[in-house]
Amino acid sequence: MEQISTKALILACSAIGAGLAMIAGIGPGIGQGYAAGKGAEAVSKNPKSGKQSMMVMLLGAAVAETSGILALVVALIMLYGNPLVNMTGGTIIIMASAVGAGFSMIAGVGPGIGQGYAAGKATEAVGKRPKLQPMIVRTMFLGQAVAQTTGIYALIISLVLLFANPLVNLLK
Amino acid sequence: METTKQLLKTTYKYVAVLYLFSMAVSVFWVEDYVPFIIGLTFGVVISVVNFFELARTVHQSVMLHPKKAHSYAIRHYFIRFLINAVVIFISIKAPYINIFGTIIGLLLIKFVIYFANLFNDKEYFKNIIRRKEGE
Repeated sequence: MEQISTKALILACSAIGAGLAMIAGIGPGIGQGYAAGKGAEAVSKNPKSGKQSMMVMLLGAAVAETSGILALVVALIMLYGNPLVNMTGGTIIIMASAVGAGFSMIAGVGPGIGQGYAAGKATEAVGKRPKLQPMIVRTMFLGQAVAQTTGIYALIISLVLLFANPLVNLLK
Repeated sequence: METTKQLLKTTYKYVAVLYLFSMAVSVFWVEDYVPFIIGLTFGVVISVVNFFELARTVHQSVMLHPKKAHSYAIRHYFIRFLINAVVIFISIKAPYINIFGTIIGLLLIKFVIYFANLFNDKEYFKNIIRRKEGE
């Protein structure tokens, strides 16, 4: 039977991890789509507040994209600049870390959808009460900033597993 | 009220300021700062272009039926996603570009959006932390 090298196993797991990380890209897509739908609804109901609604939607949608960019960074690092390939120690731990790094990035789906939802609701609210736009925008950003934290935690765990893996040292 | 054009102008102005500041900081903090600055510039330029494209998408999508607007926004999101993927790929592959510079450049505009719109009114935060029992 053909022997599979440890490097090949780690690379295979990195491929799975990169694919898993990319799942997070769905979140901002759904969120932005929702915000756009709400924006179109708000403008059709109250065309006078169109400019304000568009502005809120633009700001909210721009922030909602962040999780997608973070997922891309992890996936592409795993594909083209993988630090796990040169790591020595327990192969099975390195393999699991590659899959785990990708898995953790799935958490980015949450902030993506949540931030898009907040943007959609804020756009809807500005359509109804354009005079309250500054207050609504600020409240939306506060909610989006809080929603982003889980995505950042996921990124930290993913980067720790890739660049400063503590599990390999525990084996020694 | 600020229009989308004005908003773009204000955001780009703040991005330029933060970009120059990051560049100045990197000269002192980053050992090999030239690839970092190239990455930073690359990331900032692409994020600015993406933000402009997002503004165009928003402008177009509000004129459509809500269901069509939904799919239109998703389609354009994935175009921007692809652009970001290409940028990050080039930054990883090219030895003269620092990937961390590019990532910071791509995310710089998000920080600007947060800080320019969230922390521009002290009263809002004072109101949040004010005790309301006596009122």
